[in-house]
Order: sequence, then structure tokens, then C-alpha cells
Amino acid sequence: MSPQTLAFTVVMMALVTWIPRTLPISLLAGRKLPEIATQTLSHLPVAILAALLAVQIFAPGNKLSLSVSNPYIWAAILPALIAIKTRSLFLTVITGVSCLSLLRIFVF
Amino acid sequence: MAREEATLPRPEPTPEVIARYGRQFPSRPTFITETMAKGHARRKHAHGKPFPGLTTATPMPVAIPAPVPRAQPKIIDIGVAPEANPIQIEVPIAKLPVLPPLPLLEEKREIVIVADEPKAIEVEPVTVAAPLPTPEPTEFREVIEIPEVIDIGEPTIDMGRQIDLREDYIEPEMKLAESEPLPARGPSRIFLYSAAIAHELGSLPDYHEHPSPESESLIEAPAPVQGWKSGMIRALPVAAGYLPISIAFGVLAGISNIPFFATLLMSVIVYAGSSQIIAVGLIAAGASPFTIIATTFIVNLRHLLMSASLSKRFSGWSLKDRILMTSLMTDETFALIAADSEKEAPLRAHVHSLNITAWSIWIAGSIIGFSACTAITDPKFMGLDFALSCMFIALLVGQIKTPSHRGLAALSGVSALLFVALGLGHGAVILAALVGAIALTLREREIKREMLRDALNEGGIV
Repeated sequence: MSPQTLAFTVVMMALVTWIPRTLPISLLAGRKLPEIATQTLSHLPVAILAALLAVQIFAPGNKLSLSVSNPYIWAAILPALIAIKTRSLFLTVITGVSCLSLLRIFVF
Repeated sequence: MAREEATLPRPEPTPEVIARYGRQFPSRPTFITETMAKGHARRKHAHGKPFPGLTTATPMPVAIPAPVPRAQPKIIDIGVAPEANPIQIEVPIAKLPVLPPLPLLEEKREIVIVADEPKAIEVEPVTVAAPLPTPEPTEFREVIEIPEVIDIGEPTIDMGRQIDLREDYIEPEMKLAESEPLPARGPSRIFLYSAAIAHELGSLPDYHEHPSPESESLIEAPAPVQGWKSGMIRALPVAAGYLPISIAFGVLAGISNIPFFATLLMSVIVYAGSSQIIAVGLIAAGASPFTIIATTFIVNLRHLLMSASLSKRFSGWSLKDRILMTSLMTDETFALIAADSEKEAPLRAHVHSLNITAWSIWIAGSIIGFSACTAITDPKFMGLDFALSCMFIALLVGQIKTPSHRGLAALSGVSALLFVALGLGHGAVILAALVGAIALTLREREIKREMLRDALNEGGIV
């Protein structure tokens, strides 16, 4: 791929990323939406996070992997408990990263 | 007097009432009982918004002398009193609330007419009900009597202004409510029940906004005293998660022989983790530009939902600020901003500095990774690829505040896996999030209807 084509591709990538990011809040804010729509929108943050997380842990690389040989499942248990117990972002991330690297060194 | 009141125009239900209860809501305001009034006052306190159309009336059916419909004051020529004979005016205004000056003040000042000599002016007896600053029933029963003949001394613009204020403060519903007899039986009483129950249930989704205090510690925003500083501190965990991922991206770009300018440009203007890593893989595999752009679009389409879900909370912001905020919105900064704006939109400086901090870290990490790609060849080095997932775990745990949220998270997660298994790829997250959010919304509405029906079947709540 020539540098010109590459640059064009990256700029177009930015454009198709930017439009979905900015369009809804530019058009919707200040409008009175029906209650069912606002209610659904208010539930979206939790739903998006849960869906993203489920795919990352149970389907890494977008391939469903529900076996015991999936290290992410094992590595997610301890950080989940830490998150529920301490509610600290830092502790959760550190625990999870350590768990996965230890699992990779010793188990998988 | 009672006949006069009966001819007063009845107010139409407000758009708010129609939106909430539909057209079948009784078009005239009616009485609610003492119990319901207390409950309403409590809810009003809890939610800070009054129930439209119903008034907090006193226990019924005590007949309360209704206020006389206000008479239009005559146009008053206000004279200047000579110093020898200053005439005092005493208007019982102590009960009136202190209000900011009206914009009309300037105009009023101009129409003061200066007469040659002081004169006594006859004013028609005006009886007005005091304003209702609090829902205490005793407050609005006090009536201010203005004496029949008022000698006006020093002309003051306050006089006219106070009359205006009182007119503004008399709610038309209140007058009618006081003159309406309590419906003994029949459809109107059922309407009353249903209205009260509907209002009770109408606040059902509100409990999300009032989570128990112990469930908030993670997502609790730092007090935005210094917006820029608090935003940077808030972004630190995201930055800690971004650094390994962006380094991994830089390494991947480096070992895939992507030129440095493209790597940097991508981190600066695309700024979306997973799609950048996928794009590097596609470029290295020699995919066509169209494939790469289309994949990026699909992978990042989920931002559409995030942006839409923030639109209501940030409706007070200018368009420029909203676009600036969402231009740098990623999954992680969205989660933080959504948590910070749960009660009200945070300071602009807080949000912008949060975004810019995370963005800078992302760019810096890509540069570091690209430079170090010869040293680190495995992007899974040290389990750093797991940092973002752990961040999602923590953010999700912080967002789940009710059992219904737990169900929502489970449903969205399971459907995401189902959609992945069905081969929907990157559309799976968007579809699963929509399925979960819509399912919970429908369930909540169903619960609301069931409770309303049960309450009506039991014959009311009073």
C-alpha cells in the first residue's frame, strides 16, 4: 500500500469513527425524546460495558471460547472479586494483569 | 363568591401530564386526600419535582375560604409627597419571597408619572393569596389585605412589582382545587387513585439516580473544584490501562512494517483501540482500503449508542463542547463520563481534561511501542493485553447498582456471546447492548403496568 493510499485510508478511518461519535449527541441533545427511548438510552452504558466485557473474556479475537483452556476466564475471576470488594480501578487492573501473566508463565 | 369561582376557566392538563398519563387523565385538577398529599409532599421532596396537575391540598373536606379572584389594579398616578407631609405606605409584604429583580424593572421605572401635588389614590380592594413557598398547607391560606384607601407617599416601583409577583405566584390549579368538592365515588375518584399510583410508579426508574451510598465509591467523581485537575486525576486509571494497550498497538504496527507517520496519525485522529489493532492486522495482510474502512466503521459503530445515551445529560452544553467531548470518546472515557454525569453534567474542564489526558497517553504509548518494537515482539507481553478488560470489570461493577442492572449485564453479555457464536462478529456488541437495554425497558414498563393494575384491583390505596 502506497503512503498516499495509506494516509487516505487512515483519514477515512478517522472520519467513519468520528461521525458515529459526534452525530447522535449533536442531533439528539436538547430534543425531547419519548420516554421509552430515554429509558432505553439510560440502560445503554451498563449494557455496552457488559457486552464488550463478555466478548473480551469469553470470545477473545471474536471466537467463542468457553473451554477451561481459555486463560482469560481464569484470569478474570480474581480481579472481579477485587472489583466487588475494593471498587478500586487500579487494584483491579494490577490484579488482572498479574493473574494473566502468572497463568501464562506457569499454566498455559 | 363561590359562583364566581365556579366560572373560572379550568386549566388544560399540562403537556407533561399528557405525556405521562395520556389524554384520559382528568382534565381538571382534583383533590387528593391527606395521605396522598403527604405521600406526594414526601416524593416531591425526594425527587425535587412536583407532580403536575395535582396539588398538595389540606385534609379534606374542610371548606377553606377561597381567595377572591384578583382584581386588576387601576393605573396609578404616583405623586411625589412633599417633605412636610410624608405619607407612609404599609403593605404587608413580609410573606412575599425575596425574588431576583424582574427584567421589566427598567420599563416600569419610566412610566412613573410625577404629579404636581401629592394625592390620595383610591385603590380597589385587592385581596390576594400569599405565594406558596413551601407545600405546608397553612402557608397559602394567609391572605394579605391591602387597605381600601392607600396614601402613596414616596413613589416606589416596588408597588407595581409586588402585584406582578403575586399574580405570578397564584397557581390557577390551587384556586380550583380549593373550590372543588371532593368527589365521593365514581370515575373521578378512580382517576385520582390511578393518577396517584401512576405517579408513585412513575418514579420507579428513578431509583437508578438514587443508589445506595455504599455502591458508589468506585464511580464517585472527585469533587470538581478544579475542573482540569480533577479530570486529569480521573483519567489516571484509564491512562494506566491505555499505556500497555497503546504500546502493544505501537509494537504491532512496528513489526507489521507500518510506517511511523501512519501509526501516529491513526492514534491521533482515529483514536479507537480495537479498530486500530484490527486495521494494522488488515493492512499487514494486504487488505483493500475499502475493507479496512468498512471494518473500522463497523467496529466503532457502538460509539453511536454511547453518544446517544449521553445526549440527554449534556443537553445543557454548547454544540461545540458536545462535539469536542464525543470526538475523544472511547469505551473507557465514555464509562467514566457516564458515571460522572449521572446526577448532572460535570464541569466542562473536568471532561475535556479527562479526554485529553487519556488521548495524550494513548498517543505517547503508540510512539513508545513503535520505538520499542524491536525489544518487545510479543504484544501479549506480561499480560498487558488484559489491562483494558480488567478496567471494564471494575467499571461494570461500579455501574451495577440494582438487581435489574445485574440482569441487564447478564442478558447483554450472554447475547453478545450468542451473536458472536452466530458469526455476527463486531456487530455483536451493538446488537447485544440494544437487546439488553430494550429488554429491561420493556420489563420495567410491564412491572409498572402490573403494579398499577393490582393497586386498582384492590380498590385503591387510601
